Amino acid sequence: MYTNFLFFLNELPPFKRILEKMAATLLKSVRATNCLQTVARRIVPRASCVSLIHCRQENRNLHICSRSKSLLTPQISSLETNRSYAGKAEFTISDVEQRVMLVLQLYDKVDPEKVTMSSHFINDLGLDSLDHVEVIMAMEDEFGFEIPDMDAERLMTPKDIAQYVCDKEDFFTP
Amino acid sequence: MSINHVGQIRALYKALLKLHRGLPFHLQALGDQYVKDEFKRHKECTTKEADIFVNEWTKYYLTLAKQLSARKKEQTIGDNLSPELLENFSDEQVTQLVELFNEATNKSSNQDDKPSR
Repeated sequence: MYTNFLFFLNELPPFKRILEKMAATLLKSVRATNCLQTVARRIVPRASCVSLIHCRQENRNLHICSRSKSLLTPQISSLETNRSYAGKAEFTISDVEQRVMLVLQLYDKVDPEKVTMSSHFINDLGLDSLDHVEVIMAMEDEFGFEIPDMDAERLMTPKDIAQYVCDKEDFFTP
Repeated sequence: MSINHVGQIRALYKALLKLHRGLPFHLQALGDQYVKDEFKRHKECTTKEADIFVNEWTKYYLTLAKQLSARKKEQTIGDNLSPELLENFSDEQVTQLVELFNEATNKSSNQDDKPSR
């Protein structure tokens, strides 16, 4: 019993503190009993006994705690196997192409019937360079990253844009 | 030079539209439309006009960017027309402006913070 007790002493610093407090109160009570020596002989052992019993109760509680912890651990590990991590959604190249087309079809200056994957924005769809900027900005909003002006000037067809997005986001599956 | 110029205009155009995202919603729509129309209208202008155009819009950008980034309780957007600028207006333009002011202040008090240009 006593070794078990010591073991807990070393293991649990807060518990150690509790015991230290107990020792302090014990000492106090010992001092107090100096003037009541006759009573002291009976009370001191009893007080220590009470504190011991108290400790045992605490011990038992801690045991229960540790047991419940061991019950919990397998559950946590089973959760871990099902855990999925947040990250960028994977898209295929055709997904990206569809999204590009959708954005273009929603853009009011583009005729939704005329637009194909390989139609040139300026030559075929009749946009000017300012409209092209707006298209690029719409694509930035759609795909959530910025397209630098240097690159934007080269992206003249929906196919170019889809290709560029796939290159940037590492989508390889067709 | 010509390609560089187009690139510059495109960058300015994009920067302005992006900046307008920081505006309150109704002002953003108004400002975007104005920027788009104004850029379209000046597509075929001379180099001299283009220089003034770019200069003025850059000034507008800097002013608005400063106003939007200022951390104040009440955000102030826009600027008053300077007296020198008012001098340049024709009488007709000034009357138009007064009419606009009356119309704007009558309807609601928060309509007169339109983006200045």
